[in-house]
Amino acid sequence: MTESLHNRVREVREARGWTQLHLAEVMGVSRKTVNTIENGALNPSTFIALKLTRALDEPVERLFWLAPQEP
Amino acid sequence: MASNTERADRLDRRRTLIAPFIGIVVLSANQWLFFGRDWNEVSIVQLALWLAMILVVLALIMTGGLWFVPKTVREIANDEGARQSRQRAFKGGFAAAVVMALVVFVASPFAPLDAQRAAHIIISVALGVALVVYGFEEGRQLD
Repeated sequence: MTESLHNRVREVREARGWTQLHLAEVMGVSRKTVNTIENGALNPSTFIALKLTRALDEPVERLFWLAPQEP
Repeated sequence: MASNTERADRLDRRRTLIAPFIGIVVLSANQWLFFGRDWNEVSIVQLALWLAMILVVLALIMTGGLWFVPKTVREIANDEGARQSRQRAFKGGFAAAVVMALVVFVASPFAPLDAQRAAHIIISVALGVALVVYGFEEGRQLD
């Protein structure tokens, strides 16, 4: 079965009241990268994924999952 | 005052717009400088200009450019997303180079080219396509 990576980065970010720009500034990446991760156009590297978890203070398993599994 | 991220975003957008334009210049410069002219009459100055342009374009694609901005801003603008776009640009440029080489190979019995001119055409097409692909990939990521 083919699996794909899903995320709830946008949901968690918006729950914090952050813009994509603010999250990008906290992580030290471009706003475009945050946007492409949220849209699923970019599967982040481990490095970027861990930066995301640190910025959003969420464990990686809560931010990312493989379909058809749900967190 | 704009943050590093905002500045990187602005530069990235500008780069996304300029890259395909440079690609088209590279492709059309080939036409303008050399095509239809007697290759033996091309001056050393023209060749040197073309060589300089190609080396700069190659360096732009390999590094992502933005050489004269602060390192922090450059690192943000050349982050993982931009590197992915560059990788896809390399793929496109490589495929274009192979296809162009095949065209030259197949056409050679009918329209023979010397090695210098063949290399010139293949390199121009490869780099031009790479830049256009880069601009397209980056453009898709912009909202």
